[in-house]
Amino acid sequence: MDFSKLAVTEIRRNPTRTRIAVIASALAAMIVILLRIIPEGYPLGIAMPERTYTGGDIVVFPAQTPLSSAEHSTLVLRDWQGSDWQSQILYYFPDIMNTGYLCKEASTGWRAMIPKDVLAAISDIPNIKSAYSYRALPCLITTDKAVVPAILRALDEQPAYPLEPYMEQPASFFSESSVIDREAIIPKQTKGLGDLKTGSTLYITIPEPKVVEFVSPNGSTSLHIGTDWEKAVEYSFAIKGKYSIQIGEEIDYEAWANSPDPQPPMIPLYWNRPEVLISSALFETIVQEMGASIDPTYLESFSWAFPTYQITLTVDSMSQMRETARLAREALGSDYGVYAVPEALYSTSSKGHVVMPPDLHKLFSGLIIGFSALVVAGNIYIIVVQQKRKIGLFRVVGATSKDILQYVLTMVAYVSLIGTCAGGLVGNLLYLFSLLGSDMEFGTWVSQALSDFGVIAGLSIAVSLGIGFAIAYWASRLPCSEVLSRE
Amino acid sequence: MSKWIGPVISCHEISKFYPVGDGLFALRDVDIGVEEGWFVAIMGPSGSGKSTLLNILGGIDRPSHGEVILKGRKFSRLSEDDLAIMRRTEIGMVFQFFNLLPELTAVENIGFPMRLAGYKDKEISERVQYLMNSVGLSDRQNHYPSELSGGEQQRVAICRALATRPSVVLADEPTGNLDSARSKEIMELFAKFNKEEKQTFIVATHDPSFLEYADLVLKLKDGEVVERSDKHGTLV
Repeated sequence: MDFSKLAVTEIRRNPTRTRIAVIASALAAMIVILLRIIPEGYPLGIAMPERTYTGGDIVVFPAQTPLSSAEHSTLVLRDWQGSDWQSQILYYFPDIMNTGYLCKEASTGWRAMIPKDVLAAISDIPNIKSAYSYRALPCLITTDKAVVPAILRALDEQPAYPLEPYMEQPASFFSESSVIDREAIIPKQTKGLGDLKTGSTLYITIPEPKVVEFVSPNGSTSLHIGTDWEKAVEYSFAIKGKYSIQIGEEIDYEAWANSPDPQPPMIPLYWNRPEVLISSALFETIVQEMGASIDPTYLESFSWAFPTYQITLTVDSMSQMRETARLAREALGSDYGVYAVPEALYSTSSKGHVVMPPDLHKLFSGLIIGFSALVVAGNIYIIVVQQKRKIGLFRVVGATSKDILQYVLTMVAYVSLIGTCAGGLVGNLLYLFSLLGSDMEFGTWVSQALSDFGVIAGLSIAVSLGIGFAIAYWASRLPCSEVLSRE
Repeated sequence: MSKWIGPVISCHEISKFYPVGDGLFALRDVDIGVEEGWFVAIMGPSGSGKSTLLNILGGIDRPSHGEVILKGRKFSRLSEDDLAIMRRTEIGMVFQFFNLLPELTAVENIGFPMRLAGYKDKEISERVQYLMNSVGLSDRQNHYPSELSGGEQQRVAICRALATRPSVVLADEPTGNLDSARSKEIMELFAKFNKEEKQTFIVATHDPSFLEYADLVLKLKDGEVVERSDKHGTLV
């Protein structure tokens, strides 16, 4: 019937209201599309020092901290019974040492990871380029002046992200004879090690590692790695170089207070974790020597990647990292915590629990779309109020409540559609610039842009129609005597 | 098509009460029976209840008490949507201020109730053409209401009311907004269609000129029918 045409004409006759509603829809669509730029792709520059040091883009820990506010399972708070040397989890979630960690009741809990189990679970996930077991042992470094507690860590000879930019001297990374020469790279920032010279000898005492079976809180048996300092052995290494990883800087308020300079002096912040790096092959040799008493079946179960409490994944396409992390999280289930490194860095809340950006993304998107729908509906409401007389006239000439519903809903849909299309177009064109900062392929961008647009347009129109329906229903119940009462 | 026998529209003991202040009866115990083809004039001062009576006869307003029957159908048993659907084909309405849809042309305004009633395009086109020729607006078909004079707009409104050949045409002060020359044109149009198409006209008016066309004249005062007469003033 003509009601759709009449609705469109009516909308056009109210340019101010229509513009406000269209702009609200357009802005909502545009913002929702542009929100994708922020969380979806992590350009290489973001959290690069952390990625280098972690050895990849996504970290997997053997305990889940609930990542999503959409998690509905019963959660329990457990004490974290790990040690700093086992993984880098304390760097990302320092509070778990004091507060413990939240996990599902049935979760196994903190334990040594069996790499082959993890790899089998994630083997079908696209975009995972490689996996790396973080292997370390606690140690004590003896210098002329002190005994410094440290961590002896195995580093791949060809790590995912090169360490060279962070070395004190160029080309001081491991040489081909790193095993024979027992090369070690030491952290420059660790207190007590700064004075050690490159080329000098490093004396390290390493405790004997032990594998212990224990009963997890959920009743299953799992493995833990213990250390026996009674059977510690001293090793000596040649210092090949020093590294120092600056992760940021902060204002030196004390110096600034005494400084006439309006610009605040800055203090560089370094990744201050006392990790002495040796090559994987050398670490393997030491573990074989130190762990001679360990049951080979245990070592076999670790696929000789012993000990492992953290696995780091690298991805092919950075722009798909969040999605890859999500898939890994799904595949590994509640016994593991999976975090994209930039997410983990920026999402730790003050209480030590993780607030998941995707949820916020959805929440923001929902709020924005809901708000725009309210603006659309509000403006349509005003138009309808102004048109009460006309609606009464429609009723007088024979329009049913269904016809009035159609009339009002057409207005809502028309405004939402125009706004969403305009905003979607502009948003996607701006989103095109995100290609410059990521490794996303154009084809992927197109499919993402189209699917985004479809979802946003559908949602936006559906929400607007949902709210608009209330107005339409009200309008359809207006008494038709309205038209005559105003004669 | 079977022909309806008996009053085409009637109302029985119609009252309309508004609970404002001490309460106000806009209509009180009104009984009317109107045969097919009659021309009824409802006279009375402002506030006498003419418009209220027309609204109730058109199913636009509900009486507080009493019943309206159109061709045997009791309004009290019909929902608002049923009444709307009934109005499409059985009741045409003409207003003092024309109430045309400003976004539609004259032709579209006249065809609007026909489209609602489900007429085919060809039927609509023929009927609209006939009506526009009848009222002398054949050269104004594609003009919008804002491009028409008051008299022309009212003629378009009359065509719209007649488009679906309704049994009853209700007109509320149809000449109240027109000068005497245009008023006479409108009255003559009503008389013409009343004669040619045998449609029943019920016109609420202050204008005594309508009396010469009326088969029945009802005088209302304070919501009550105080006099029923024919056009010669003979009480009936």
